[in-house]
Parts: sequence; C-alpha cells; structure tokens
Amino acid sequence: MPARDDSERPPLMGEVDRVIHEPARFAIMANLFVIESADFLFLMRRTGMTKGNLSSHMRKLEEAGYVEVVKDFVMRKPHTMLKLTKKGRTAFREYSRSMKQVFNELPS
Amino acid sequence: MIENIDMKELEKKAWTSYFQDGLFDITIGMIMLVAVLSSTLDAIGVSDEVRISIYIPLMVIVPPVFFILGKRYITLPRLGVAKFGARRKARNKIMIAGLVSVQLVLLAILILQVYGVGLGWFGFIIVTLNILAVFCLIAYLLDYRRMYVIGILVAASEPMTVVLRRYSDTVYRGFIAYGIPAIIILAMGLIVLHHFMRKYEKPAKETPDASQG
Repeated sequence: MPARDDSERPPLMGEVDRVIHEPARFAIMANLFVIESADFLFLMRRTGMTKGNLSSHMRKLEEAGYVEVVKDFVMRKPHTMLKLTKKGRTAFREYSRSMKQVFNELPS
Repeated sequence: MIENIDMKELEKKAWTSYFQDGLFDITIGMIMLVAVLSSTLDAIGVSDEVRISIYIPLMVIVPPVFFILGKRYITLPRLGVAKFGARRKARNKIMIAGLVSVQLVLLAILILQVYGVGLGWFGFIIVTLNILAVFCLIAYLLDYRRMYVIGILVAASEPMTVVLRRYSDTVYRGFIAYGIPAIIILAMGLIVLHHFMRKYEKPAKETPDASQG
C-alpha cells in the first residue's frame, strides 16, 4: 500500500500555529486581517482588551513577524498604525485553512 | 473559534463602528436647518439674491466644518483610527461621485429658479427622486442603515412643501416641511452621539505605541 502524502493529511493539533491559536491573539489577527491597518486604540475597542493585555499580545505577534508598526498620517498628523505583515497574512490564512481541515475531519 | 467567526461580518462591524457617533445625522440635520432658514428668509420677503448669498456659504461651510471637527475631536480620540481595504475605498469614491452629482443637479435647479425658469412638477419630481436616490446610495454603499430613514425624511420635505403651498396659506410651510424632519434627524443624531460618548470614553492619556509594548 503506497504511503500517504504528508500534504494531504489533516494537520495535527501540535502543528497548528500556537502564536495565532491563543484566543486574544486570534482576535487581534482577525481584526487586522479584514482591514488595511489600525491604531492601538481601535484594536483595544474592537477586541475589548486592556492596554497592557493588548501590548503584551502585540509584542508576541511582532516577535513572530506577523504584525508591523507603520508611521502614517491621519488628518495631516503623524500616527502610529499597526498592520499585518505579508508573513502574518499568510500565517493567518494557513491557520484558518488548518483549523477548517481539523474540524472537517471530525467523525460525524 | 475559527469555525464560528464570520470575517465579512467582522469587517462590517469595524466599518460601521464609525457611524455610531451620529455626526453624519447631525450634519444632515444642520443642512436641512439651513434650508429652513432659506425658506424663512423667502417667506419674510428677502430677495433671492440676498437669500442665496446667505444660504450657499452657510450650506457649504458650516455642516462640513462641524463634521470634520467632530470626527477629529470626538470620534477619533474615542474610537481610534482604522484604514480599510480597496473595496471600501472604491465604495467611498462612488458615494462621493453620487453626492457631487446630486449637488450639481440641485444647484442647477436653484439657479434656474433664481432666473425665473420654473420647472414646475418636473423639477419637483427630479429633486425628490434625486434626494431619495442619493441617500439610498449612501446607505447601501456605506452599510449605514439609518441613512434610509434619513433619506425618506429628507425626501418627504419636497412633496410636503408642495402640498402645503397648495392647501395652506401659512408662511411657515418651509419650517414645517424642512424644519420638522430636520429636528427629528438632529435629535436622532444627538441621541446616537450621546450613546457613543457614553460607550467610548476618551482614554485618560495617550495609548502606548505597539512598538513600546
């Protein structure tokens, strides 16, 4: 019997991206995924997190290379905005695909 | 978590959060109040030239300035800033084009009336349908449901003016036709603004940059 190709098998839970899998970081990533960029306050409002909590999760996402800080102009004033990096977008898509696959493979 | 999250809904919620401030409603209410002023000036016998020289600058300057300052000093410090994707930007452009076109049509009709070219029922129907179409366009493109109600209230002013002109001698028909919807829209906007300010209190001090962690 031929061996099953690894790319076809559903991901094991251990292989799921742990950085995104944490619910708070998932909320940040999901909110940033659907927009171009947002500032810290907007993310606080959308996720319902406190400053400290959001800062700590944001640091982990930055360390993973999923989120970047960009300087932008809002009403002609410089403003710090946060956005998903290309790597972050790819990772979120991959995470989403993996999780859907995990749930699709559940026995009925 | 992933299996029960609707990304389109998430984007829509982020987008519509910007309309929870009621500023758009208040601005439209203000525009209508300027129309009331114009109509009142007309009723007390002020010439069309003088009336338009007051009406146009008020209409063009006061409501947009209020809206911009409101966004800058009320909404953004409470809600924060977000930039949306290409789809929203394209929708905004279509909406602006729609707004400009209706303003041009209305301006043309106004100028024709100043120079004594009355369009009668035809002009009235064009104005009413234009108003309704533009508000529906805004409501649809911005996902801004309250705008349908505002559109109906604004558009209803025109037929109400005609009815009052035909069946009533009152000189306050401008106030009744435009003033009542304007007050309803303003009140709606102020209530929404009040809820917004209670829901999103201004942060006590600067939120840290993400880079500061």
